[in-house]
Amino acid sequence: MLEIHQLGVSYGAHRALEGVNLFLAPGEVVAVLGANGAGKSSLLKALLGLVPARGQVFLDGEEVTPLILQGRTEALAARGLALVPERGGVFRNLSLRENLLLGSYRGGDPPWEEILALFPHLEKRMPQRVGSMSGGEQRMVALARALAQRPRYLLLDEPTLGLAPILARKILETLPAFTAKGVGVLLVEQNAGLALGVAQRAYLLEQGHLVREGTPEALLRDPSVRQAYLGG
Amino acid sequence: MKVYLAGFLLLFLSLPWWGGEYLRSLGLSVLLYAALGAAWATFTGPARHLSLATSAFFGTGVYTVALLHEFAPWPVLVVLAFALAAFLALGVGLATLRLQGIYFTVFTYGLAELVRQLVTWAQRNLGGSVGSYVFVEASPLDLYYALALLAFLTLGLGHLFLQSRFGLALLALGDDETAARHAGVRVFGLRVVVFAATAGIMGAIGAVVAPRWVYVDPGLAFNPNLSFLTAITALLGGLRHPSGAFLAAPPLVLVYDLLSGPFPHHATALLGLFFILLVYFLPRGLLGLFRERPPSSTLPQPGLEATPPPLPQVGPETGPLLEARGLRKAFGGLVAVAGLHLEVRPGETVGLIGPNGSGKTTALGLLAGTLRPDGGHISFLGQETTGKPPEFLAQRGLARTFQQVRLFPSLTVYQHVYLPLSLRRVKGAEEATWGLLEALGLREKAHHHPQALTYLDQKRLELARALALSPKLLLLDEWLAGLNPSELQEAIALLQALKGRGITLVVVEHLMPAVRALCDRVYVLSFGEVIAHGTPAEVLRHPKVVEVYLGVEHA
Amino acid sequence: MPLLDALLTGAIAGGVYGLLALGLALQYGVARILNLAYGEAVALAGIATALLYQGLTLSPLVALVALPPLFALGNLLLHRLLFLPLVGRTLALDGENEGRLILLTFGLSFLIQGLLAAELGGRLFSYSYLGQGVSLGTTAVALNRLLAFGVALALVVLAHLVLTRTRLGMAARALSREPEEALLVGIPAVRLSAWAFALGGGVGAAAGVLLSMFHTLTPASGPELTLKALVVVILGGLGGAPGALLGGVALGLAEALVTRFVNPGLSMAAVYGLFVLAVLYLRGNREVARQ
Repeated sequence: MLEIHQLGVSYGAHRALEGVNLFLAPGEVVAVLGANGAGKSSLLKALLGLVPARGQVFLDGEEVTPLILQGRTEALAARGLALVPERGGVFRNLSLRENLLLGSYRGGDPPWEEILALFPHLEKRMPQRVGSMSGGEQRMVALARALAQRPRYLLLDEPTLGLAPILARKILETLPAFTAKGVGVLLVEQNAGLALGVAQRAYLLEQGHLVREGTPEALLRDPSVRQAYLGG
Repeated sequence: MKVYLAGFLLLFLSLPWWGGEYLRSLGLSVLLYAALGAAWATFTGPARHLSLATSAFFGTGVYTVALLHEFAPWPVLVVLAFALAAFLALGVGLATLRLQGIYFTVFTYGLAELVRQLVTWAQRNLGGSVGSYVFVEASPLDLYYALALLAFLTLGLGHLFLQSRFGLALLALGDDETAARHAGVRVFGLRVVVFAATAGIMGAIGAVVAPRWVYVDPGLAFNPNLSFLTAITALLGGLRHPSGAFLAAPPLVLVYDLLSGPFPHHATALLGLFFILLVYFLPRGLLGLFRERPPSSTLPQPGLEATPPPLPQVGPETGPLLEARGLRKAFGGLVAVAGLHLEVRPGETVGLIGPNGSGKTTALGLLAGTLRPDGGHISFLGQETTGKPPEFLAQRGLARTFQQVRLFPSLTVYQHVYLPLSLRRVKGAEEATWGLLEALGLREKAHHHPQALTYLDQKRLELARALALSPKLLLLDEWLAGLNPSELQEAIALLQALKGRGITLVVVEHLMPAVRALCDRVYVLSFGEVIAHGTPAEVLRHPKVVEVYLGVEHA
Repeated sequence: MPLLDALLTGAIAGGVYGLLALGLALQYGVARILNLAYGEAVALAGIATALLYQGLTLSPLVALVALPPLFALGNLLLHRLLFLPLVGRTLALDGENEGRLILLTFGLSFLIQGLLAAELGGRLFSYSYLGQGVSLGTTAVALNRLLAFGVALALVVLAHLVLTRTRLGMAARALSREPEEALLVGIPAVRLSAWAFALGGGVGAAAGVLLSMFHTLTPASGPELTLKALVVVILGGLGGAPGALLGGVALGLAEALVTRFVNPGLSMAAVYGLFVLAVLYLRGNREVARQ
């Protein structure tokens, strides 16, 4: 279980996140929705110690708050937190093969077969520099690299950003490959329909506060979700 | 600081009358490093480009006198030295100042050695002997006062420069090049000219000091220690203002003199150690220990009849104000904008909406000149402007704000707004600045730096800076994002007021109520292409639009 | 055959320049610290080799094995005590702390230079070791130069293999361009960059030992060596070890040709000529240069 208590993030005087309480169980997909600037990315970055944060975080019962406060990103990653940042999650200057090898930097070989079963057409791309791949392919590489990390919890920041609906769906269809192994997935999405289609639970973030929590069905009916996206 | 400088002036002008030869020589060294340090700080301080070539320019000056003193009088040679050193710097600047600062630093690092070698080679091949005698009819007193004059001239000019619009522009450039260019600052020319001018001063200093030595050889004239000591002086003083060097030179010269007595061989090493400690523990120098001058009350305050900012005149122009045809932009394999067609007519407010990642910000960057398109054409005011730099467009009235606020930490609120007005030589720039600050509710904070502002005020300041270009077209990239509901009402009202004054707006926006309230027409982007366009009401009902936003096929 | 002679001399010196640049590239490329005191360490290693050979008749080959680890350790301490506190744990560089880092190394170069000058004065350090010529077709080359070239080449090739074939090397390359991504897969970026900095110092020391076999060094040689290394790194671009080697050979050739056919006093001008070419090339690729 990934447990977050009273998480806050401030940039100077600007409070991006305030008093966020959230949990993520192994094997479930939880969506976090919200408008731009609501603090979605700050939430994920805070968990990896990439931004100045306060609060408490427990990872399967172990308190990792000190690592977060000290900004020890690599130690948090080693404990099983894999973050795929918005538009990132790949080494643009390295080949696909190198990306996957570095994904499992912390030990062992990448699960080649599993990765190729999920993304069969990547096989021929192994020597290609990832920066020269298309947006959709880069997202797949990011997920493949995350798979190579063998995480306990996967944090995805807008993985469908800028992707055509069919590609976006394809990306999200790979999530069962993670959850089947007991990986908990925290999915930050702008595409509410898609995200709620794959999530078991969802939170709504507004102005740095969690304002709703519920099942996808309930949230999709909630007027405040429509408000956040289409302005009512 | 004024008291200190007055004391410094008195002390060093009177020194030759009461001090002995030893003290006079110390005084000369103090003046030398104060002058060099001030010149160095005038460029490196605001521009943030580290120059390690002081001795190359200084040596050029020394050698000008050494080689030509038989042909021209000393004062003429000082002027010539200025010109030659400036010319050398111009070459260096033209080659490297377009690039990242690191290339400039590396290039200047070996420059003194290069010039030393060239001079040695030339002397050996042309004159026969390396080194020259210097016979100049100048008494030690002449030399002392000439140097004192030059030192204070450097300080005065440096001060005036920093106060001028060009000084502000260089500071802004050092803080944030992109934002500065969008405020109308011509990057390259400004940097090169200031670098050349300060290098020229270093050359002139070399020419003034040259008669101190009877015999000059390249090793003496292009001594790398001089670059080092100049940097130490300026850094110990602080780069905020050239007067820092005047603060640092006396103790530094004194300590160096005291050290070289007991430790004649270790003076350089000790200085190196001191330098490291300095960079470590006192990065802002002695000036950093002083609080910056509190807001002075001598700045012009607006009267009640404060003139409103100069408003753009929307003439009876025919055709669109801005037109984009087939714009394309890719980052590596990532296609961000794929064949964008768009048109903005005078006086209207156009919305650019679409889900995250649909290419709105990239499109805005292309229109504003921040990014260079890979293909397609843009015309502004009926003129083809594809690939034109942002400062070109800014000077012609195309202004933008940024998604993440980009302000200049080194400039005050007032200076942010004054800069674009003064760069365009607007008459009454001061009053116009106060007018704009008044209009945006920033007057009380005119002397604050942006770090001390609230988020909303920072956004207002960015808008004020853009309006100071008297824009014909204003591009706003999510200017409303991150504001709380009450701030939002205020901010929307502000934009409506701009619209009421006839300013043409293009807004990238996520907040649909704002889009409805502001926009006459809306383009909806998805995957870098326009998928719908029309009035906000039409567009937001469009099934395709609902789908890309909500990801569901019915609403 | 003066031309062939010059070409050969240049190419052989170029191999050592490649090694020289590789050390700086590790420090600047991976650890992202532009170390202006790099040349001082190289000069120090070369001078130490000469002193050991002349004083204790210790073979330069022993120095080649013994000195680099010592210098690596010294650089590790420097990184830990001097640079890391400024860089911070995220290894993010903004304009201000980058400037401070350069100034720190600038001060450090004067500190080392001052100490060397104080202890050794203006002495010149050279010795003859394996000076006999080896004939290569129509021309002859001193054995020490050939040895230096061979060792330098082997080290550069080794570095290339490590950087491209091992996971540690890949991690180092990842770190040099995308440090945040490296942290996200659990690469201990701080430790790795410290190691890269130390290794760079060790490689520099090896280059210094090899250089001392055929090149006169003085306590004031540091800045010139730093500059040469920098120019080669800029010439070779971001091409890793092969880039460094090619850049090194280009520099060696330019220097040898100018020395032989123009004037020995203008070698610096040759360095700068190459530099200007590199810079002009970069201006054509402004996107690269601005990164």
